[in-house]
Amino acid sequence: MNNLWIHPSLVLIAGALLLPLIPKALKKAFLLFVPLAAFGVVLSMLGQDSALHGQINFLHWTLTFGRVDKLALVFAVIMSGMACVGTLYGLHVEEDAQHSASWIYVSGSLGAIFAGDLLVLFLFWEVMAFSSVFLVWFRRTPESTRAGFRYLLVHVAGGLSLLAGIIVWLAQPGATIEFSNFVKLGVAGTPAGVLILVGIIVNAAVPPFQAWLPDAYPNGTFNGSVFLSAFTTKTAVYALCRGFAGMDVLIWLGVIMSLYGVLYAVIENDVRRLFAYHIISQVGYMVAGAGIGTELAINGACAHAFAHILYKGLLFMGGGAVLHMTGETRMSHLGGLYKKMPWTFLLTLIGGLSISAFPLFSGFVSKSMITAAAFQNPSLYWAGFFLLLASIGTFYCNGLKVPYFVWFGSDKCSDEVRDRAGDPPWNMLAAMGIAAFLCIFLGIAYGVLYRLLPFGEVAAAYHPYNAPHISESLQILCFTACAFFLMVRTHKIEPHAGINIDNDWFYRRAGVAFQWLASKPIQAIDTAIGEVYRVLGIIPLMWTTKVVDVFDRYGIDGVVDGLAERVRATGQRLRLAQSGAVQANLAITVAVAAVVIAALVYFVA
Amino acid sequence: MSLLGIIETLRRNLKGVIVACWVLLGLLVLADVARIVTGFGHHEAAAAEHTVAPAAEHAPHAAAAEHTAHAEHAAPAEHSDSLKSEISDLKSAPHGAEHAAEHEAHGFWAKAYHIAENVPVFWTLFGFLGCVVIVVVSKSYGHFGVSVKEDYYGE
Repeated sequence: MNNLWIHPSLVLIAGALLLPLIPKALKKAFLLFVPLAAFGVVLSMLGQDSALHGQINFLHWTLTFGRVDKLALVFAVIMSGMACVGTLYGLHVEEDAQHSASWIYVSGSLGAIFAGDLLVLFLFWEVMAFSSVFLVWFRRTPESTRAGFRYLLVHVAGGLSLLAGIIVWLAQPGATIEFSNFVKLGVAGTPAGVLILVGIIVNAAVPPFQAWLPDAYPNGTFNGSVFLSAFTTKTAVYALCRGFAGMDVLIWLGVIMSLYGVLYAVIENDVRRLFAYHIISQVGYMVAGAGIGTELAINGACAHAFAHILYKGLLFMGGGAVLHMTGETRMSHLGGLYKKMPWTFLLTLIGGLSISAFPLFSGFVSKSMITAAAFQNPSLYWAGFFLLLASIGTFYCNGLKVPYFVWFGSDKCSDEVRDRAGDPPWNMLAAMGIAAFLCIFLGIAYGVLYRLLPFGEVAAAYHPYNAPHISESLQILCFTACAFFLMVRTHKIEPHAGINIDNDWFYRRAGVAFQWLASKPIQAIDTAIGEVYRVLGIIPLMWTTKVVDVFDRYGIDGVVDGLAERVRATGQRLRLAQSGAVQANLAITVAVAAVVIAALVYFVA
Repeated sequence: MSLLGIIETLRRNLKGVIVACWVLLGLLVLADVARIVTGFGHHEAAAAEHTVAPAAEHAPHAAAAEHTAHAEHAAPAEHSDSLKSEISDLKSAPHGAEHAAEHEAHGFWAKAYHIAENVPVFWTLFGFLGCVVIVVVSKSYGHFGVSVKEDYYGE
């Protein structure tokens, strides 16, 4: 074990816990310093040989908090970098808890990525779920509260599946706790492998477990959604590359995802929900890449995750800026905002062109690796063509529909929206500017990204800028634009107010049915039993206790030292600390868990 | 000129912008047809020619041998080797490694990965018709009962 190795999650957790203690004058500097320090810690690992750090013995296993190799580092670099950009974006947010929740969320992702074994993976997996939900709840609307609970419900179920799979796996003779490729071990199709896979693909938002994403992410705070868009799904992509690379079913699931996201995004009215559906679509490429499992495909999945975190963060920053400045994100209630928000338009457009894989933008150099990997194998041509079909929908929505109907098109803004509209504060524009610069930089200087990829030789041999690829991309994108503008003239694609039912319908309706069951028949039975109990049990009991109380207070306690009375008074005060809100209890639990993890990593490892 | 000024100028000259876009689109298609007709990057039935070799064994050697010019950009081999043994049951890419080499060898005029890339205006039609199909299918799906009022869940 190398004692000099510092876990970047530790930096973020320490920062999150110290943040409320920092004086206001130093707060902004501290907000920038902590994620930059974590980013610096990750960058310091680049160029080092693969190694295991932070190992501790637990029962008869060796837990590894720091498995550092190229696969982990490519994800860690962009995630810690995105933590810096995301924090800068929300720098003016004064509520410490929002920043703390974001950092603990990032620490969960980094912890899962550096986890060398299944138990540590599960530990940080849950840290992610329980911290990220606060980024939804902090929006503090009735809908965000409900969406947060649904988000938590799905992620707890997914986490339990992961844990169940780990337990089943570890119960088998010869099983090791190391998190390695289950396909290679031959257990991907066994109950243990399937349970672990389900736990992971819930976080990757793979259908039929995808509805939590477009339900929760658009309900997050304007800056919280920027974090949400970057970490959970990409950590799951990492886990698929690490644990299930080469599993054929992932190709099917990935292709279905890529088209499913597009299908919903095309008919979506809310800007941030549209972006959320395109997370599903883009993660579909990565899942397919993990499923294809060749070196080029794994490189593609990693490169696309890297690029995606940047451009999707940029798109959510653009959507967040519209929300923050106007209070509105429905395209049916927006339009013509370029006059008020020109820079937000330009920067969001760069995100839209990047996700659309336009030449000279980051998506072009990453997405093409995955489609190229599919076209390398004649039996996967179908996957390559479907992924390219999905890319048409991507450009249609992100590069054309959103820019046109939010910033141009007919002005459907209310007077309030029009009055409030304007480019956001400097820190939000700066964060968007950095992300936009990196989107273009990676599209041109793609070698910087390729050098970070797990299979360096294959990455160095791959060149995205060749005539067939450029020609193919430009034709697809330009003629998609042609079709869009022709359809705009027919007014058939105008966004309309409304929502689209996804398969969260089932658990939403089940929840309503359960609430009815609990509030009507079960409550009636409970009330009847309670009334009987009150008349026959509580009332006589209360009379008895009053008599005993008087005897105790004035008879015994009064004679001795009044200790019982003081304990009672202290209890009354402590009672005020309990709000009864589940969120508050969860916050305390997560904070205590964070302290325990930090202490465990620091003192034991 | 400010950003807003540039946008306003483009809007004022929208017809000119549209004509310029059409000209560029025409040139794009013509350039692609020229690329195909002149034989640059012509696709060969590579799949049939190349032997199936596990990428894990083949790719690094092919890449290392044929692309020494890029050796300085490549990561140390031990990283990839350890990852190969650690994470993956990496599948064979039937002509992947060698095809990647062909891309390198031909540089900008690389061979097409797929025969469709050498059919004139194939991607033009793919983009245009694909967009129409996606919109029609999505809208139809929405009308099938998926698109509902905002207060559908009563929240």
